[in-house]
Amino acid sequence: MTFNGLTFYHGLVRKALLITLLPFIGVASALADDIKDNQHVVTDLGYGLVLFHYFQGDHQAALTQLAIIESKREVKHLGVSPELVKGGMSLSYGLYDEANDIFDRVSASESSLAVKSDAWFGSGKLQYLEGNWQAAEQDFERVDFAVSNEHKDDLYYFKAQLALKNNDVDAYHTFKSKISNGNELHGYLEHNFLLTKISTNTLSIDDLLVPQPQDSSQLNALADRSYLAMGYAFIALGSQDAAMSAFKKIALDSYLIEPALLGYGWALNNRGQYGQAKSLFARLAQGKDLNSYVQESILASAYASQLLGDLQSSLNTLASGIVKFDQQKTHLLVMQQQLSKGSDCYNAVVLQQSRLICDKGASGFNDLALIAMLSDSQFATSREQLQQVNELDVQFQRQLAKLKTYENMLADKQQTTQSRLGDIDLAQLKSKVDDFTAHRNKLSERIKAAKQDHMSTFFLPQTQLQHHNKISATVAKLEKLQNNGQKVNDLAQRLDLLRRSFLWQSDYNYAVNVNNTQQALNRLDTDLTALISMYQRFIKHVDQVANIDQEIAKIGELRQKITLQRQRSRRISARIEQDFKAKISEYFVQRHHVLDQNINAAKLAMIQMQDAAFKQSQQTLLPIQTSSEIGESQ
Amino acid sequence: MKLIYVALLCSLFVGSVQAQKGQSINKEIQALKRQVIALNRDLFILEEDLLFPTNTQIAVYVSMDIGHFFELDGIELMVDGVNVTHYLYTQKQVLSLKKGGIQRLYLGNVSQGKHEITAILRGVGPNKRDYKIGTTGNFNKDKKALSIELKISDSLNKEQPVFELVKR
Repeated sequence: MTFNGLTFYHGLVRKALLITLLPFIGVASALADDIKDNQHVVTDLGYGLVLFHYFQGDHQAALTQLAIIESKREVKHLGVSPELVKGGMSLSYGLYDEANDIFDRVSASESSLAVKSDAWFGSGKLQYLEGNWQAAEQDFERVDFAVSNEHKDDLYYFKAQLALKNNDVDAYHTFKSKISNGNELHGYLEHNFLLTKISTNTLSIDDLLVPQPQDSSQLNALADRSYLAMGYAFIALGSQDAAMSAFKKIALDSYLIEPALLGYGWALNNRGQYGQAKSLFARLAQGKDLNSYVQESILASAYASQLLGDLQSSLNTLASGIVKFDQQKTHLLVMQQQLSKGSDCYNAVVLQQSRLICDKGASGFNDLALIAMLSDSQFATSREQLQQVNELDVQFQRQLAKLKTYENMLADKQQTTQSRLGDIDLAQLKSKVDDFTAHRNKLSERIKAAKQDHMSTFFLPQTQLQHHNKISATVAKLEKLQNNGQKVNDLAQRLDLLRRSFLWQSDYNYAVNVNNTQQALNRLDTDLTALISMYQRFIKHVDQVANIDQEIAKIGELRQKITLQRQRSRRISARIEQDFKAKISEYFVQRHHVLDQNINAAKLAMIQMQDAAFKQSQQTLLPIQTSSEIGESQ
Repeated sequence: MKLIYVALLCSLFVGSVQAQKGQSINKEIQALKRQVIALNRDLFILEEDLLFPTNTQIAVYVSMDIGHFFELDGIELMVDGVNVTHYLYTQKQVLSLKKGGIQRLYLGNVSQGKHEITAILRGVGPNKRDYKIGTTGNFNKDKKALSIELKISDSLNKEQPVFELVKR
């Protein structure tokens, strides 16, 4: 066996284990998904809104809604502990510190074992996701005493995973058997178990009978990785037939089909079927992208030709390989330039948005090694972090845009209100309204007093009062004349008639004038009320302007806070990008190094073959092309 | 020759990448997330104050209890005869309602005084039949924010869904 694919399949084992964890970040974190119907008796509309977002997996909206309620009042809720739900939400959203605090608090303070158990379970999941295996095990041990049906499968999944990490196969089987039949968690565990076997060299032919996943694309991809790793492991174990069976199980449309075919070729080669191996290598060597597998296929094809005794073909393949490797070096330089920080292509590759942008200039972005590198745990973590920071930055931008809209709206409102106020001097208006009100009150008091005292002088005209005085004076004169013995009966009768007529007239006038005065006072009151209401409206507008100023000030504060956070997010993203840049450079340096090695090795192989051929030709006198001649013909 | 190939092939695979200071970045991202939530909260409160002040605010919520007899497809909501929203539900949203979530279907403004609210619900009723039903309620709006809950529940006696608009 000439092929040492161990490095490769160990890489696959590591990546597959990490990939296996990925679906469980979702499964594990979604505490709410475990909460079944009718467990929530929601009495608080706001809290119901929180749950509505939470059950849909929109943890950020749920946490925001919860923060809004908490800032205004206490959450009114019956049923499952809202604290625990908040812990689950925080865990799902990636606020591990908050989640940890909540789970600790709930498990320490709750008296109900069921709630405590849920808190321990949440804490265990958190520890598991953070890679603290021992702490996770301790938490899961506590849950075991009171495991609820909702958490049962997940709990035993995690326990089985931890058992695998401890290489405790018996415990793994025990925990796995406790998971409900038909749960897709079995699929993940089976493949993880397989990978553990590969890494511990305990793989057997029976392991090929692992059931194929049904409808899960994630599990299918995982199975392809496992079969590939198994294939190479069987090659390392010398079981070529088993290796070929494993490679055959890989889906034809899988992105791993190239390494699978390569492995199949090596298995054929190792079985001595050099012709078939050569044709497979040669087919792979025609691959458009000169990735690691295509490069290896070129060399393997030459090797198979050599084994078949076709030295000329081997030399031709190596020579053409050298040319291709040289071209690839140039091509890598182009790729590297394209992948410079900040370019669209760089973002596309890093964020795995679309490779189409990169494909314009360099088709090598389908390169499996680059994909593998991007999926590597450390790299994947950075990529995920960068994605998160970018998403947060987008949110900050949206918040700023919203603030701008509100600010414009308020500015319009302020302008309208100010235009309503015009140039009115509010203080002057206020003093006039006050004077007017005081006058009115004084007048009203006087009228009231006059009415009470029947003050005719207040309500009757001056002429009428003069007539009244004249009549009174005449009556007094007549009385004097009568007292002196003069006959004034006629005059007295006429005067009495006149006096009575006058009294009637003055009573009438008094009543009319009192009524008119009251009406005038009422009209005055109406005008005054209108004036006061108008004044109050002005005051309201003034208040509005003041409020708008306050709101605008609030917006300013918020904008400042958001801007500060944006600056922070940019600093973080710059740090991550710096790491990316370094890693990408390192990747290209390695690729160049490997290409140089390939070129040197191919040249060396050619010289060795030419030497061997020369020695042979010395004996048989057969002519053979030199390496320089082959180079020229290429 | 074999050795050359072995060395050659081994070197084809890209080595592992270096470990990173991911942990501290994670902490910083957590802090950023905390800030996003706090700022979103402040922004929502500001938005509500500006666009939906309490003296004119009206909110209509949808809740579902059990929901065995009715599979909700959509709701059309009218305030004083004017169509204010027409909402179509996804399966995920219906499931969230069944689990105890409450949806804010509409948030708007009305003047103080009496108002008529009508909800027309569409979905699949008992025996898998298409179901369309309307429910109306009259409510008085005062200075406080008006919250109305559209409750969808099951009548076990009649084996029919029940819909009602309740002031909260």
